[in-house]
Amino acid sequence: MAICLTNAGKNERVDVLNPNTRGAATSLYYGAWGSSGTAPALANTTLTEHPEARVSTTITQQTTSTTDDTIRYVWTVTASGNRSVEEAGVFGHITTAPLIYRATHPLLNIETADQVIYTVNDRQADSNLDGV
Amino acid sequence: MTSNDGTTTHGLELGVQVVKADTGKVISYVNEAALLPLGWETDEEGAVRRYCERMEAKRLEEGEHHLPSWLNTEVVVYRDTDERMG
Repeated sequence: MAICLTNAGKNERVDVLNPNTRGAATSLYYGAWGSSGTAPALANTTLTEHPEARVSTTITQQTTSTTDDTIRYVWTVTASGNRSVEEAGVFGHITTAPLIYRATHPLLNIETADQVIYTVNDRQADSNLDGV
Repeated sequence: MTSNDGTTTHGLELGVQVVKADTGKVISYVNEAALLPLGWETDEEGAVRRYCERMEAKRLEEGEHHLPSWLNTEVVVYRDTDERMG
């Protein structure tokens, strides 16, 4: 299993932090799955998506190390046919870019009506103290 | 299931659970790196036990005292290389 916050995802995070751009930033995030097992890379912008539509993610704050230091996205995809699934991602739009997180996992041979529940945790870890 | 994007400011994790339509069985995919302390030998049975214990502790923490859902859960442990064990 591997997961990365993409370059587009970093851009989106900064947009949300910046008061000048956060108004235009998305407030809805969508989860998807796909068939590519290629390892995640920062430059990734798409998945090889299966026909199932992207689904809204449920977003919560979690405490991993310190209070509310983690954002969690959870979504469930229901297969409308037999699928080979090896990747998942969180998008900032229901049909287009940006791809914010991309992850790969062991090959799942999914059958019609099976569900896959994905969870992505993004913890804001300790900042680098160099130069302090 | 832990992986890091290589920066110092993020810790990223992925969780994957499959719910089978025909049986309702839940298959939970767990990366052993998230379960075994650094330097430990591979130990699938122990890793699964620790995963179940962790899930049970979490459920109790959250005030859920009914029968744990993982009783109907199969846990599949993967190494970092995605190699399936067993």
